[in-house]
Amino acid sequence: MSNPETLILKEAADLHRFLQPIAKMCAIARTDHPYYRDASYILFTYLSGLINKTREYLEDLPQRPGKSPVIQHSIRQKLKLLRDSWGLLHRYIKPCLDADTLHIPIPLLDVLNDRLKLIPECEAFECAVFQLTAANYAMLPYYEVNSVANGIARRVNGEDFPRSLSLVGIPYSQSSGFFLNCLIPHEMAHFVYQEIMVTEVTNAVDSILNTHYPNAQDASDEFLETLSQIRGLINLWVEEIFCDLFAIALIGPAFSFAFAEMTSASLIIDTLSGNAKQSFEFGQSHPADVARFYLHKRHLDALGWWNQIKDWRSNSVDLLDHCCLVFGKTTLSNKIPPDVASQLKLQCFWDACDWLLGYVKRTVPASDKDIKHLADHYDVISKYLERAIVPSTIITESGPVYPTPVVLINSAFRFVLQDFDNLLKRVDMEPMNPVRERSWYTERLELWVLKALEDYRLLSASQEAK
Amino acid sequence: MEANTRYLTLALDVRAITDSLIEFVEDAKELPASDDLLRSFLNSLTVRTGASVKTLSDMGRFGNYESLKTINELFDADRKKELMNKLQAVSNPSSESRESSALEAITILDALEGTALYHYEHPSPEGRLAFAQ
Repeated sequence: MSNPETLILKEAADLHRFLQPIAKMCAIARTDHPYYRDASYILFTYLSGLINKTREYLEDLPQRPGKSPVIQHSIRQKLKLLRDSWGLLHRYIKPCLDADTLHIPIPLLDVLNDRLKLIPECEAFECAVFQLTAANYAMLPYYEVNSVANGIARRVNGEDFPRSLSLVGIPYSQSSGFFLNCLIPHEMAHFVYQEIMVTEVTNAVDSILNTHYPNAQDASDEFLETLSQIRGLINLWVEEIFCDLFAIALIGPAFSFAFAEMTSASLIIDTLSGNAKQSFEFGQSHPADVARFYLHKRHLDALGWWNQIKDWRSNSVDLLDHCCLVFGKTTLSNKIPPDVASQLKLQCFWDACDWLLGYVKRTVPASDKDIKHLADHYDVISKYLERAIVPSTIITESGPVYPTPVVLINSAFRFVLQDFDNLLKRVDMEPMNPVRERSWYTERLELWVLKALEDYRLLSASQEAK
Repeated sequence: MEANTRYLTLALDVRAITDSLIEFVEDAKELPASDDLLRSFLNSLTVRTGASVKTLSDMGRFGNYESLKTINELFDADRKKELMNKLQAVSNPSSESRESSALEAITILDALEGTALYHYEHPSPEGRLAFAQ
């Protein structure tokens, strides 16, 4: 059997060799084509630095083999821990490398990042993107990357993960899309929540939980574990609602409409549908969709958006209204363990959301001007869109106007939800299959809006320069 | 969220304490005087008089379900007390058995770290289900 020093040497070398090619990939990304957003370069540079520190630590191990067998064994276990931790970061490096500027919705990301920086304490935030194979959106929570990167860094004398850097995953196929990518603000919000709001919100939720679950004398370890699961679930659900409300503050009702498309939520108001049962269920990671739409509507109302959109002829608006009538029918999913479900009081969630609605309204300001400008400018923007004109500059009665990103984003949704036929009527082409036709022109519409968003940044910058 | 990643974070948190103990034995470096992580960990080992949300919040990063479950799976009340005594002995400059206590604590913490890593590498069906949702 090899002696412990030899084993440490071999296992350190194994990990060193594992890291070598990852370091090369990060280095190439920083110096060669393709190009990335600044946030991605920050990430690659950080990872390169952390790899170097890990390798230095490994190279230093033969000089510090450990005094006793206990410590030698512990060092070997630490090597396994480092390897597992790097294995987790490894999962995200390739998806980040794949998300170069040709494969992400740059104009939308730029305006969203601009909007994010207007929120107090978010001025320095940058959002790096990675590609997901799942047709879903995700922000990597602290447990996934930041905590693990920091855990490695503190074990090898490296630097902490950049504080202002978030990682948002989008489906690899949606780089040129617009409508579904309006879910990205929700993912950005997870980062804001974890970086800035988590302590305040968790304390508020704990205080609500305390009233529903007073101290249980002589309770078993099992009960404490159940209570920790309940606390974990309520906090997860509340975080999701925070992110929804934050996204609405950032881009208005467009977020709710994108979410409705993503979840096929229109089935909820279909009286014949038995498939919408899951939309009423609180699951292991997300609150019930019906609860989310109900809270969306309350927030839209509080911000002044609801008056603006309530008369839109759209199933998505009806959905928000409908969920206010049926949210009381929400229940727990049977995937939640029975011992937890039997003791979980959903009222804690509703109490927390009552508090959260006020909290988000106070801390994440929405723009009243955008709501007014949407009312003022939509008719002109829709005329442009039905004629396939990019609405970067519109001519209004008061002169030329560059519609703001929030106005453009919500106008695009209103147009696709209620006025899209006006565009199709103007198409002077051989009749196509109606599904193919709608799909094709919706894609065109997405490109026009993305172009207008891109132009807005240039035009408003040039206006400021003057 | 991938539930089993919390086990990896638990292993990293435990390792932070273990590394401090190794530095104490190897380099005679004292444990940090005000270490939130160590305090939270000691709270998770302390004998409880009740169970409340405050009990969990006092445990800090060790108050989540995955940490509680792993600690309870590995340590009964006596073992928790034993580990707490070892850690307190290392922190106490007047204790005569500081180095041996540190080595014994390292062994126990390695077992905890190893169990957390096992759960990370072998997610339960519930954990996989949560991720798939």
